[in-house]
Amino acid sequence: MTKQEVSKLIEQDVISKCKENNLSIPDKLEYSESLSVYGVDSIILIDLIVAIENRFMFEIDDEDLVSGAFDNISGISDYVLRKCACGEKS
Amino acid sequence: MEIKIKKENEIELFNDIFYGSCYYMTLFNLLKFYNRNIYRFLAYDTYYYDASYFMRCKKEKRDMDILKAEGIDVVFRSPKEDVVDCIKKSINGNRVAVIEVDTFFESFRKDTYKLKHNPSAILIYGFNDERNIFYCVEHTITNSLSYQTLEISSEDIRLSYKGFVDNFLKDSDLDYCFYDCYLTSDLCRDEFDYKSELMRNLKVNFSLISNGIRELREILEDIFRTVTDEERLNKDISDLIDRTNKFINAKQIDAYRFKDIFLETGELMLAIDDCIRSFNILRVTLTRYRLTRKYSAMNFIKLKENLDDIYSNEKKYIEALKKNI
Repeated sequence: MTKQEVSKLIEQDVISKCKENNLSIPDKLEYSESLSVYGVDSIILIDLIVAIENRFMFEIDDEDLVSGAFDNISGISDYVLRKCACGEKS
Repeated sequence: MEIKIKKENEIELFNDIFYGSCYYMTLFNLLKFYNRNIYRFLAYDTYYYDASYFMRCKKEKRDMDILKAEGIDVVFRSPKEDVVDCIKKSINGNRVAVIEVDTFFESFRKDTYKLKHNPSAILIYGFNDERNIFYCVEHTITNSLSYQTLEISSEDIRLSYKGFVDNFLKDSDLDYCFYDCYLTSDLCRDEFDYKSELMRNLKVNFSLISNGIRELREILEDIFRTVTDEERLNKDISDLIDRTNKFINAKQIDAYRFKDIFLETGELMLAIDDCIRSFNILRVTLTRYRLTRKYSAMNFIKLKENLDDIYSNEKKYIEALKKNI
């Protein structure tokens, strides 16, 4: 998958989690914008991460989650692509 | 008729850090509204661990005295008449009004409107009679840094104020839920040296902070006992996350005031950042459990290392603080 494709899927997850939490969210998100701008707090972020883990079928270490890599869609996509690449090699 | 004490583009909003509660966020936005400094609040607060209360804040000065020192006088109101009329009177008198509300009745609050009773505070600086609206500073998501200028309908103001009186006033620490504020001087009365005051305050309260490490040990041991007992964890998980949020928030406040007032970048900031990181890992683990309910004793035993990290990072912070004050 390309970064663009991964970002698109993550964007859908972000929108869906925001809607579940009654947040108003645009249909198109800026991939480099901090998710906090859309009202994603630490609880919604973990909910989102669980959805991403289920979608891409890998687990994200709790320590990685506080590294700052999950601040925006672009960062999450990079992380997912790195994880997928590791999975393919092993 | 339309009256606005200030135009939107002249209003500076405070969204740097969530300062414990929306009550303080509104006070900070009030200070910003009058171009006053928030540092006096930051200088007089001391955060410390307490096994019974988890995280406490000792305040050297009363909030209203701090506002007074910044040249803002506050008059408490107990409206006998309609709150909407009272607010208009305040604004007609060139004052801004601050009211406590229940966001359950604020129709623009998608996260709580008709869903959840939640206290909040609003700063009101104008109104428009024809459109039946008030010009306000308020946030749109609970506990978030989304303070902005908003137009709120008179009906929302009336209902949300009443909601607060009915649902929260009795149980809150507040004796009032409406006050208006005005400037008593164009300039602050004194030249306040924020850094010296913060340092003095931290020196005076250092034993409170350093004794807190023993309290933290007790708190962490209790967390470990909870997470290794599935039944107890299920019962206490939400409280545990709330507590962890309070620890993180207090540490973020320390980071903010040291960065902003001390312009600190060295050992002290590193120690605070490490404290925040280790508390964040705890929050992630707990929140993940609350969402998935997948209990793995092994994962929680692994959390012991994280709890030990929290303790040793806090010790490092106290040592760094001692050297710096």
